[in-house]
Amino acid sequence: MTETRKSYSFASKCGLLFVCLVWVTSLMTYGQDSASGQMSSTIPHFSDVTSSVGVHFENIASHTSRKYLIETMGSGVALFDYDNDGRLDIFIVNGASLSDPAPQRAIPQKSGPSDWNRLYHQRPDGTFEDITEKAGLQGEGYGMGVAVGDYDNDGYEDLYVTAFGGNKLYHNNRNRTFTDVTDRAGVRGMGWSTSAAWVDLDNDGLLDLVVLRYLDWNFDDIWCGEHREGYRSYCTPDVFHPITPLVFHNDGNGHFTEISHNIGMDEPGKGLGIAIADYDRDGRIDICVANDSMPEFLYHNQANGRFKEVGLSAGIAVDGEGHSFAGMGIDFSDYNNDGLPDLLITDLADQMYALYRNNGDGTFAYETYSSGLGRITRTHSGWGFRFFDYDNDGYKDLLIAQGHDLDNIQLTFPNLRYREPMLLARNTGHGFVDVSKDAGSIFAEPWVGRGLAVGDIDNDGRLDAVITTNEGPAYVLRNDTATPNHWLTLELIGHKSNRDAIGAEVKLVTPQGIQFATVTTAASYLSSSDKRVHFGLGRNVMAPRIEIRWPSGVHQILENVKSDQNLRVDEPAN
Amino acid sequence: MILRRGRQILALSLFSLLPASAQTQVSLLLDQARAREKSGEYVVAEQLYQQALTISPDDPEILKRLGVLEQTELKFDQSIKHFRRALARSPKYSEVSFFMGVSYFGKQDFSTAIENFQQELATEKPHPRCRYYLALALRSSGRIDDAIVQLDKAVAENPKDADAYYELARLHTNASLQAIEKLKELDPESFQLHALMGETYAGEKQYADAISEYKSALAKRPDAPGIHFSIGVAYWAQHEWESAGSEFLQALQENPDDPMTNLYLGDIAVHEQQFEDACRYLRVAETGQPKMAQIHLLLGECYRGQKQPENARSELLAAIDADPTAAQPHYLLAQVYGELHNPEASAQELAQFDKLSKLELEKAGRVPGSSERHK
Repeated sequence: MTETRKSYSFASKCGLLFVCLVWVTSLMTYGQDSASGQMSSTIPHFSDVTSSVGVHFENIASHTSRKYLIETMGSGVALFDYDNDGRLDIFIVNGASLSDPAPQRAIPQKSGPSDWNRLYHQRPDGTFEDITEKAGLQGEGYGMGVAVGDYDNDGYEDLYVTAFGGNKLYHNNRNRTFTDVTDRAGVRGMGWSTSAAWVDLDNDGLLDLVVLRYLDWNFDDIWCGEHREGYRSYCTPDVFHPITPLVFHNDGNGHFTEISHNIGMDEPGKGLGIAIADYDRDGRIDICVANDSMPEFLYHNQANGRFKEVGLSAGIAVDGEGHSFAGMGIDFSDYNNDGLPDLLITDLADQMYALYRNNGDGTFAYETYSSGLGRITRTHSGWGFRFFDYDNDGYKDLLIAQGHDLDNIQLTFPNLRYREPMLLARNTGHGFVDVSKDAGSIFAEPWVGRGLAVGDIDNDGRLDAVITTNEGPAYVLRNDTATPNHWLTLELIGHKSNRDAIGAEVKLVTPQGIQFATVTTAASYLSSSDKRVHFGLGRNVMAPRIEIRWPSGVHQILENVKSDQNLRVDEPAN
Repeated sequence: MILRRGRQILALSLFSLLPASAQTQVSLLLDQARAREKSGEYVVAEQLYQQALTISPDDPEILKRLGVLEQTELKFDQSIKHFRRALARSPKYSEVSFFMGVSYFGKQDFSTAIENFQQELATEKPHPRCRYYLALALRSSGRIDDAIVQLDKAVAENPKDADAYYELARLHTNASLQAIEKLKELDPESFQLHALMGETYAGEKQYADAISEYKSALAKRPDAPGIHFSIGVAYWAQHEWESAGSEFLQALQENPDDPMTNLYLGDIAVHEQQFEDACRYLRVAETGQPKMAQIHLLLGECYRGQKQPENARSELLAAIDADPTAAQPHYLLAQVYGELHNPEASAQELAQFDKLSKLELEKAGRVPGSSERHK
C-alpha cells in the first residue's frame, strides 16, 4: 500500500489508542469502550489503489462474434500469503485467446504473456511485483477459478487452478516457486471446471478438493437471441446439459482419488459457486453449491461418510416464490450473529440476490425481502462477493462484484446494464442498506465485475478486496473507512486438523452478543479469500471469550483476547 | 401445382357396362397409364388414356384421369374440355368440378374457378382440398374476407391443415400491412398508427419500441382508453415495476373494476411486499375472474405476507384447483404448511412441487436440470 495510507493509518491508530485508553480505564469489566455498547455507524470509504501498488492485470476473455458462453464468465482471484512473509499476495486467473469461429472440440491455449495467470508478490512497502514467471504459474488453457489450500500440511499454501479442458494443481516448493503436480496427484479433471473448494470432508486432517463443473459444453456454434443485427446473445444454460462435480479425496501421499459417486456428491448441476459450513451444527462440514438456472444444492454431510442433497427440503433450492434462479456467487456465513451460518447466493437482474436465514432446525427462511436486499438488488446482477465487516462494527456487510452476463442486455431491457458499479451493503443489524454511493468514487464506476476475494492486504484491521472484471482490469480496493471500531484477526494453525484449519469454527463472545465464522478460503465466485478469520469488535477493546471448534473435534477457549491484532492460534493437542 | 388424387379413386363408370373382355382391356390400359404417369412418361400415358377412350368413349373416369394428366402438363384448355365431357355424361361425377376449378385457377380465370369449387363443395363428398383452393381463388380475385371465411372453415374441418393456417396467417399479415400503409398515407403521425405500431412491437417483445409508440399515441389522444394499460404491460414485461404501476394506476381510473389491471397492480404490490394494497387489488380482480389461478396464487402470497397462513392455504388450494399442473403453488403451500406446523403436508407439497417442476421443464422442452432464467 502507499505511504500516504501508512501515515494515515498510523495517525488514526494513535487517535484510537488514546480513545481506547480513556474508555478501557472506565469500562474494564466488559472490555468495551462504550457505555451503551452500541456499534458506531461510520462512513465507508474504499480507494482504487490498483495502479499505485503495481498491479496491472487485464483479463483476456476473447469475445467473438459467435458469443461462446465461456467468454462472459470472467475469472477468479486469490488473496493468500504464498511465501509466509505475513503479507497477502495476489493470484489472478486469466482466460485465453479464442479463434472465431473456434473448432467445436477446441481446448483453447494461452498464446503468450498477455494470457498468463499472474502472481503478484506484496513487498514490505505494500507495493506488488509480478513474479509469475519465476514462480512458474503462467498456467495453461482458458482459466476460470482458483482455490488455495495447504493440501500436504507443509505450512505453505498450494494452488488449484480450474479451467476449461483441464485443471492444474501447483505445489508450493517453499522457495517462492511452484511445481505442477496435476498428473501425479490425479486431479486434472475434464470439462468446464469453475469454482473449487479445499475442505477436509472426512476429518482425516488432510484437505480434500471439491471441483464444480458448469455445463456439458463445447464450442458448438449455437445462435441464441434474436436474429437481428446486434441482438445475438450468449446462450442461457438451459440450452446445455448439467454435469457432475468432481470430488478428490486426499490420499495423503500426494495422490487424490475421485470419489464423487462413492460419497453421493454426484448430482448433475450447473455449478458456479461453492461454500462450506456446518449448517446444522452436527459437527460435520456441509457444502452448498450455487447452480446457474436450476435448483441450488445443499449437500448435507451424513454420519456415514456420505452426502445427501437436501436443498429443496432445507429451503434453499429455489427463491421464496418457488422460482429457481441463476446462482453464481455464494457465501455461507452468519450475517445475523445468531451462531448459525446463513446463505447468500447472487444471481441475475430481476431475480434478486437470495438470502437464506438459518432457522437452526436444518431449514432456511428466504429473507431477501425482509432484509432489504430485494429492493437493493432487483436490477443488479451479482457474481463474486463476501460477507465481511468493513467497518468493524460487529456485523458482516456485503461487497458484491456486479455486471450482467449479456453484453447487449440493454437492447432488450433498457433499465438493465451490462456494466455495473459494485455494491457495498451495510448490515445494520436489522437489515441491509446500500451505502455504495457514500463509499468512494470507485463505486460509481461501471465494471463487468466477476471474481472477488477479500482479505486484509495491509494488515491494518480493515478488510480490503480484489475484484476481477471480464475483458478488463483487476482492481485492488483498499479499505480506508475511518472508524473507531476495533478488530481482531485470527490465523488458525491446525496440527491434528488440516494445517489451514479449514472447516474450523470460531465463536466470538462480546457483551453485545456473539459472532460466528467458519475458516475457509472458498465462497464468492471462482475466487479464494484470505483464510484468516476477521472480526469487528465495535467498541470492545478485547474479546472476552473465543471458542474454537477444530475439525479434529478439539474445542479450544481463549479468554480476554486483546483487540486490534493479528493473532496466530495453534490447535492444542487436546 | 396439382394434384393426382383423382386417379386414386376407383369410381363407378361406364366401365362396368362393358363386356368382360373390354373391361379387362380398359383396366389394363388404365394401370399402364398410371404406371407411365408415375415414371413421368406423360405422352405415353396420354396415349394409353386415349386408347381406353376408344374402347369406352365418354367414360367419365377415363376423361377425368386424362384431364388431370393434362392439367399436370399445364394443358389447362384440353383438361377443361375433357372435364366438361365427363360432367356432360355425369353432372355430379366425383371431384370433376374440383379438378376443373383447379384448371381454371391455373388459367387465372378465378371467377370460373370459384364457380367450379362451389359446385364441388355442393356435392356429397367434395375433394378435401377444395375449400383451400376456393380460398386461394377468392384471395386471388381480391375477395380477402371471403377467403378468410373459407380458410377458417378449412381449419375447422381439418385442424392439422398447415397450408390453410399458412395462408390464413399470410392474409392477416398482408391485411395488417396494407392497413398500416393506408394509415401512413392518411397521417404518418396519427394516433391510430402509433397505437398499432405499439401493439406490433409489443407482440414481437420489443417493449422499448412499443412503449415509445404507445406514448406517441397517447400524446395525440391523451384520453384514449387502453393505452395506459398497454404501456403498463410493456413496462411490466421489462420488470420496471414502478413505471408499470404508475401506468396501471392511470388505467384503473378508466376502469376501476378491470380484472387484468387489478391483477397487474396486485402482482406489483406483492413484489413490493405491499400486501394490504395487493390484497385489495386482487380481490377486485377475483370478482371479475374468480377461476384465474394466478389471482389465487398472488392472494396466497398476500396472506402469507400478512401472517395469515390459514387464508393463504385456502387461496393456494384454490390456485391448485384452477391449475393442477402448476408447480409454484405447491412450493408456497409447502411453506404455509411449515408455518402451520404440519411437516407431513409440507413434505407432500414439496414432493409435488418437485414432480411438477420437472414436468414443466419437459413441457417447455428444456434441458433436464434446468429451470427458469430470466434471460
